Amino acid sequence: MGEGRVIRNVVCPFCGCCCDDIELTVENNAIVNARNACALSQAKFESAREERALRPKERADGSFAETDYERAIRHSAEILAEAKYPLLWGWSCTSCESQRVGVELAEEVGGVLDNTTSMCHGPGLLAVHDVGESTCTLGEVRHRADLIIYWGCNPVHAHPRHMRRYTAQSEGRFRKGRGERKMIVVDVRNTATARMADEFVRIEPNGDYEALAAIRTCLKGEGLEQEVIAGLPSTRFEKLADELIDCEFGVLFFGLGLTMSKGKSRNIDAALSLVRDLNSRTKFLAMPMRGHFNVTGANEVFAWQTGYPFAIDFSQGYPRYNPGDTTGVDIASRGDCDAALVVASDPISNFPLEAAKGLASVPIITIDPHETPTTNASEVALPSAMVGIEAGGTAYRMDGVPLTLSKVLEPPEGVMQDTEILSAILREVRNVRGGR
Amino acid sequence: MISNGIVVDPANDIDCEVKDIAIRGGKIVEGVSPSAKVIDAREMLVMPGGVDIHSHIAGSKTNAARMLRPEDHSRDFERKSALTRSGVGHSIPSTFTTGYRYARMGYTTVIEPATPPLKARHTHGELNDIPMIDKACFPLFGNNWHVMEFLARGDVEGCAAYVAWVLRSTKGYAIKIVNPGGVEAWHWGGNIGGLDWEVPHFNLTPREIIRGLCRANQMLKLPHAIHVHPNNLGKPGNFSNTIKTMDCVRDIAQDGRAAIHIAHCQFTSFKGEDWSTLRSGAEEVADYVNRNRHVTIDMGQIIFTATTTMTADGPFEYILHRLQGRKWYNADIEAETGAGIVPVVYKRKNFVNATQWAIGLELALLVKDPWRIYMTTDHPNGGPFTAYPRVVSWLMSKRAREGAMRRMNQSAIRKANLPSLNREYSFAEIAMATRAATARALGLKDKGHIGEGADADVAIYRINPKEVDPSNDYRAVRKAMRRAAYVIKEGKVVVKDGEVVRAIVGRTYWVDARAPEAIEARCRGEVSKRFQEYYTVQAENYIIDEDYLARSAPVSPGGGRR
Amino acid sequence: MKAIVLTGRSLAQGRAKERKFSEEYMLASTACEVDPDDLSSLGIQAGQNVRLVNGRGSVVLRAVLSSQAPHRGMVFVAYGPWANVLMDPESDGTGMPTLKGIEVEIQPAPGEEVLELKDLLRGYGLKGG
Repeated sequence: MGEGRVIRNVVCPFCGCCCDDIELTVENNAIVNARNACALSQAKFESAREERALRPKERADGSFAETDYERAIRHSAEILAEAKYPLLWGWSCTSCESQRVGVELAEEVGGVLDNTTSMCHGPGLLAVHDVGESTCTLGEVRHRADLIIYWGCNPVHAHPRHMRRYTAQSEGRFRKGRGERKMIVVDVRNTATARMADEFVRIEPNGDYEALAAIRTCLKGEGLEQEVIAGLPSTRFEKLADELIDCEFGVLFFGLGLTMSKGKSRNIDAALSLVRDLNSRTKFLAMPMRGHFNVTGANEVFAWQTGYPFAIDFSQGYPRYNPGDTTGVDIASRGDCDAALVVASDPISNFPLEAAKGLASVPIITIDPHETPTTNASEVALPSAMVGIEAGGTAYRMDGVPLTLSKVLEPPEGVMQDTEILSAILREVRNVRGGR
Repeated sequence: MISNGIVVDPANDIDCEVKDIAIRGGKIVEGVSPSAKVIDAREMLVMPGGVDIHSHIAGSKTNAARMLRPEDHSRDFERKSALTRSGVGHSIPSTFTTGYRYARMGYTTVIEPATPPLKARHTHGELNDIPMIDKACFPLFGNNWHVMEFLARGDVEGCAAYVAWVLRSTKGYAIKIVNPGGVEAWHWGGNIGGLDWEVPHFNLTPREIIRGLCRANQMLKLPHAIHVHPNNLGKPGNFSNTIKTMDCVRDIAQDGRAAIHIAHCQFTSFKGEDWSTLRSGAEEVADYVNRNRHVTIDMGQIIFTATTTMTADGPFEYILHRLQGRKWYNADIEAETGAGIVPVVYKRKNFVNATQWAIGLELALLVKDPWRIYMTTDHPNGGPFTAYPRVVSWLMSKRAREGAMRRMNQSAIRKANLPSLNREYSFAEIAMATRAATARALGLKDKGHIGEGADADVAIYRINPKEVDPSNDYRAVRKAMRRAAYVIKEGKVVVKDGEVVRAIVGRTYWVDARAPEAIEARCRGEVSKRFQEYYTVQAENYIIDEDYLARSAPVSPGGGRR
Repeated sequence: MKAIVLTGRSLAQGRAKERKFSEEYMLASTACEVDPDDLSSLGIQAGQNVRLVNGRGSVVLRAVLSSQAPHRGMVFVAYGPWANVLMDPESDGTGMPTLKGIEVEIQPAPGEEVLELKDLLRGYGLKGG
């Protein structure tokens, strides 16, 4: 791998946009340029070698020392085989092929299989169970949308190419550019995305449910009784309702501003119900802004193999689903699990502290390309290849379109792929069990 | 060697004959050595393995339905066993459970009939995870931008080359058309109400789409006819549009081949002006099918249970949601098609549902040629596929039908034709409707029969067709067909007494379609230029490699394996 | 001063999140975006440290001038281990802890240091590798 070569049409493994037009220049097994890549994408591609875990490590006699994969896998298998209620967490930053092994492993050890959805757009899925959803693929937005709403999300920071590739700044068959579209941003602060909007609606924190309910009320031709709703004069919502009805094709993108604020799944319920109601007047669709490049894939694979998209409890020998009870943060903070396997995720950093402590109080096995607070808190840490750069596989975009990730670099010497590591652990768990 | 079984193999003119079936190397052969393993099939019914021509088992909308409806499967689950994976069932089973449940009933091949090309990779991901059965999927073409533009220009050859490219790229088996033009109209919130309406912005009609794709199908010599879900599905009075749809390709039909297959015909055989005047249009539809050999249909039978409707016919699902108020899922797919999902409960005492139930059976009983009418429930739209044995009992027994009808809305039953129909299906006709005829319609030459050279996919049921009288003893038939005594797949016993004894991975069939090279070359340029404009993925990323399929089984057009 | 904390993604945090022990990540995750009028009320300048306290815990962050003002009474901190000291794991039966709209008390914290990640973790008894 001496001279530079250019690899085209690479799918970016960062956010739910999964842009598939990245052009990478590779020299000496490193990425020296990433064309068409946003700042987040570039950072991931170009820093692929930094802070890498290079050798498996295991905790023994009070120290956390390097070991080899064989011992690490055996140790991991013993922990999981012995555990009565292990939590298998993460999954959103790895390939569908790995996720499939994950399901089999969780079933084998009778554990709980949960992905980062439960801390992200899980409330959205809970709302979908209740009211359904009217959605589309991103190309539909590009071709037809004359009204785009970003509610409780900030794509400039979290999905930087979203607007140019798919929405307000894109060019479609029926809408030629920015001038033919209107963009409304609803948020509690004047974000970078809000500054690009034709209209910015600033609501009070935790006021989303009332705001959505107010618009729905106006849509149904009822008057609003209060003068102030979510910190705004109620006339503002009458005007918004009119704008929404007036469009030919509207799309509501929503983010963690809705899922994480007071009301959680009820906020999404209100948003999806609004979109559903709007369909009696015009064409309207909704889409969650999925953060990770394959969290959608984790939902898809889990659902097709078990019937449920996350929070799947196998402890009774069959899939059971009860978010709030079988979800990762709840299990960790209640101290219900007695071991954990973490794949391509950093819950010690991402969980509320109390839940992180709960997780850290049990033996953790982590499979991750990097050194993280979670790998450092683990009993066994297994380094893995970076999916989408050093290992291929399938990933699903935020709108459910499946794409193929590329392998453009060799992983660091000796580092295995997630799928291989998980398969080896599964085999070893069966050996350990069989030996009993 | 399956010895002394009572064989029903209509494709080879065998009807309840005691006969040995010899198997070697995964195929039916003329004879095997005396040291071969023997299955004693004395007094048991031996048939080819079931071939289901239309069942929504895999893909983006099936999965969206699973996610929409955890309540559908929380009470119907299967535990992990030494040989089988755990899962959930009822109307939208998880993938492993789907395979096991089909196999337990003696089915060995199932078609997923509606695949959006942009998400075909998802369909194959799921098909890879459905064990036990062979599979294929039908990509959707009836609202596809490239297709509509080629046909609006009258360029049928270009359209054929594009269709071939999509079939190869998405590893699809046949041309599926759902509410042609209507789903594109739905992308603006509208719909199409008849064959000669104009598709907004595209300058052509559903008639032109259907005819054009029918011609393309013929040019490419695809093994199955165009598989069509007509406009106006679910609308009272739609039977006339269904007949017009069948008729719109009559003049271009080729001898000896079906030119068009109408899917789940029950849903498009409604007479009447509105729900209160709903009647069965089965007589008229069946009459047309009887007089025109270029048409095949499948039933789409209703089962009285809670189930899930799911279809690419987005506008229809919106209408159903507005009618019933149940939760509604919709997913429009750029430049191609759409999907809609709405839970439904079919009730015996409901006038409309009881009429629908009668329509499905009337179609099956009134169409005379058993090679052209197939048994389906359009799973899960009419009901879960696990109800097939029940449908078999209704087809074979007037008593069973009468028993069922006694509990139904009597006003609907009085107005239906069904009570006066005496026909009862024989075992041979059941074999045709569930395997022999479907395999033939699909052009799967080694399926649906157990003559020499066929795939060794065999179902053995614990029932003696020479002794049992299905007309009276329909319960025994139902029981036997629910749990096969033996199921053999590729020559290996995979099910015994209704339990999986060997978990296997089946094949995924697809057609390696090709248009003449000159036409393909011309099209390549046009398609790739417009691909960038139409889609938000690169053409390169749209194509699925053959090794993505767990077991790829390409079929050459014009017959034969590659 | 009472305030509401919103946590979320930021470009800087996103760029650095694959390198948790980097200085870039720490800078991105310990920045507390404050409305300029709130900075005045607190009597501090941008770049000075503040302590955020609530029933769950307390953490020292670096106040920065918000570019998304006005949002008096509200501060923004990127997701991460520092912000998580204040977060409530209670998911209200949904699986989702409440990570936005958390009430805190903000005080100037002159002379107090923002902890490095390893020190932060060790302080909570989390094994440091």
